[in-house]
Amino acid sequence: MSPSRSSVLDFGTQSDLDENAESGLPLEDTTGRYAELDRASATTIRQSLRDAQEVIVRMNGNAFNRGRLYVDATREYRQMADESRHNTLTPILSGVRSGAQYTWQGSAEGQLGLRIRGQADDASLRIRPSVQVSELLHTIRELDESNRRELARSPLLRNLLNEASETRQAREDATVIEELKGYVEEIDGDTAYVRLESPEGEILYGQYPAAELDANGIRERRSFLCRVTRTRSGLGVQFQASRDAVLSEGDVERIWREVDAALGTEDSDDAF
Amino acid sequence: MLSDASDGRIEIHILNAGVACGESIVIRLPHGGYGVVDCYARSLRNENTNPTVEFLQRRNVDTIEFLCLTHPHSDHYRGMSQILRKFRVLHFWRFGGLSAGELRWLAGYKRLDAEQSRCRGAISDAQEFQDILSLARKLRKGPGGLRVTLVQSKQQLYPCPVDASAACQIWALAPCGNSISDYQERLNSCFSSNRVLLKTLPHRFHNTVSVALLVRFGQTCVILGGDVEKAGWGHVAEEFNADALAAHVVKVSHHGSVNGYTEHLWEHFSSGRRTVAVVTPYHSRGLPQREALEHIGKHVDSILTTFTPTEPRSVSASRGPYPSPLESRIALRQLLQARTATGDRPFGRCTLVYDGFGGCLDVELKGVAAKVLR
Repeated sequence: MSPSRSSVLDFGTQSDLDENAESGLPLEDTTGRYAELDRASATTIRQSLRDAQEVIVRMNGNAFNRGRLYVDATREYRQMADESRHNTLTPILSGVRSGAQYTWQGSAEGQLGLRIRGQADDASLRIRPSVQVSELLHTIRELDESNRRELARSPLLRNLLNEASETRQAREDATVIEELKGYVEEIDGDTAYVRLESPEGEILYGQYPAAELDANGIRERRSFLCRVTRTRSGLGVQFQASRDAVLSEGDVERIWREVDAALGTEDSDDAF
Repeated sequence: MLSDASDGRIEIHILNAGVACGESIVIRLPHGGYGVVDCYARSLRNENTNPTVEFLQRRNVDTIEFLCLTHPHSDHYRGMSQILRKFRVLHFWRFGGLSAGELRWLAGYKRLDAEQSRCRGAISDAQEFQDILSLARKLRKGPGGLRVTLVQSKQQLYPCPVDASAACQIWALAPCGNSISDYQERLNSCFSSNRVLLKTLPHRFHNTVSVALLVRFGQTCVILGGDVEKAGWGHVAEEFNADALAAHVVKVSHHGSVNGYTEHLWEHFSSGRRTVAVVTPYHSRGLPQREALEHIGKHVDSILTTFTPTEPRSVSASRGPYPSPLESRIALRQLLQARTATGDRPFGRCTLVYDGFGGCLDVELKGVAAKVLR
């Protein structure tokens, strides 16, 4: 079997292997349905998901500290995701932080729309199709020598191999002991004060470095999932941000209608 | 010289709802009237969980002379709508600066942020904030209706109308004008032109506009610090001379946080007095902080708390009524210093009674209240 470059591209998108891969896929002005919701600031990336096992959205830079990132799947994808019980693509990332990475796992064909409100010139979206490390190595071995050396130098490929290996290892080894609902009560300097609630209703309070929660996209006054796992190396605790509710234009209008009805619309200082 | 109408004593009751957070203060004025500063109830659906309502009803109070909302944090306002519904309130003092329009922005901010968070507690607290403002708006209509005052520093609030010679006076120490304008600006910047919430403010930022009150009865002085933080006290120190801040009782600001005072503040508070400090804990936020208590303890005669801290239960005992995995608790304790929250407990109350000459007539600690120093 003679290897070809296209066989490599089957497991990594072009952007993974491009020299410009660090900046990811270009963001395009959208004319799609997202623009109807927020024409002024929406940007959409659409990328086919062919046999995707993981979809990785990676944010770099500081722009997102001022914005929000919405991730949504097309109807087709969501249906398929639901059917395969991978409904994790339903929608939102909020308070996206610089350098944070969000990963969805699923397997379907369809499209992913990435709608970004705010400044978004340094986001990247990478699609990582289903890859087994052994298959990858096999593929690389089949490449001719010059291509193999070229690929081996690629830091992205090395990362891909390492991450895939680590992720798979972690999945195989970790046993979930308990899952608790978390909530960040307050961030005071470097410390986040968190509340955890067990499925039985037991409440625990604790504290944790705010930066580490932030790196997981977990912000002040937001919920997260706390998963306690047992691995070969001992007990571990993982945090996963819960997604914010998506408020539609209708939701926002309804809330403001209620506020206006309760508090009136007069602006004089002594109204209440 | 105290007023003829005075019975010669002022009572400060600092209440706790039986949980490790929240702040409610009832002042029994020398002539027998009552005022309320902030409020915290465990549940919005059950008035029996509101220590302020319970306390006032037990004393057969039907009219409250003033109700003060120091700042827009739920541990200071949850259950205040129950007070507005249950009692006749003559004056409503609220943190200053925000016009009615801006206050509507704040209410909308809280509603939108809470809805996005999906947190049921945050949603009900945001609704409660809106309800309080809505009730205040309704109650002010008609003759004899509620009078609303927007509190800013150096403002005499009591008696109403203002009487500079009254034996009992209440003044605002904070917030100052600069803090208010900064708050207005930051709040406005959270929204797009079409009222979409673009960003949120740090939760603690709302302390910027916290009210602090100075209650004077003759020579007796009480400071109720709200959640004023360092910067706010810095402004207070600029606007008031140190003598004016010497107090017999201080409700410690910001639940005993190290951010709740400046370097020399407690020297001013305790100058020439046997000062009693009262802390209202907020355990889930790690308050009071040991460092703050040690600092305050150097200056005051005693520190009281409205809620007795309980030692974290040992890991082996943490199963309690819950079938929680022991291994899990070990991991959480190691990583997060996690501790199990106490269940609901009886109300707590620190009561301090003073005459008009700085003399302490009585100190009473009820329920979960306790003395933590001396």
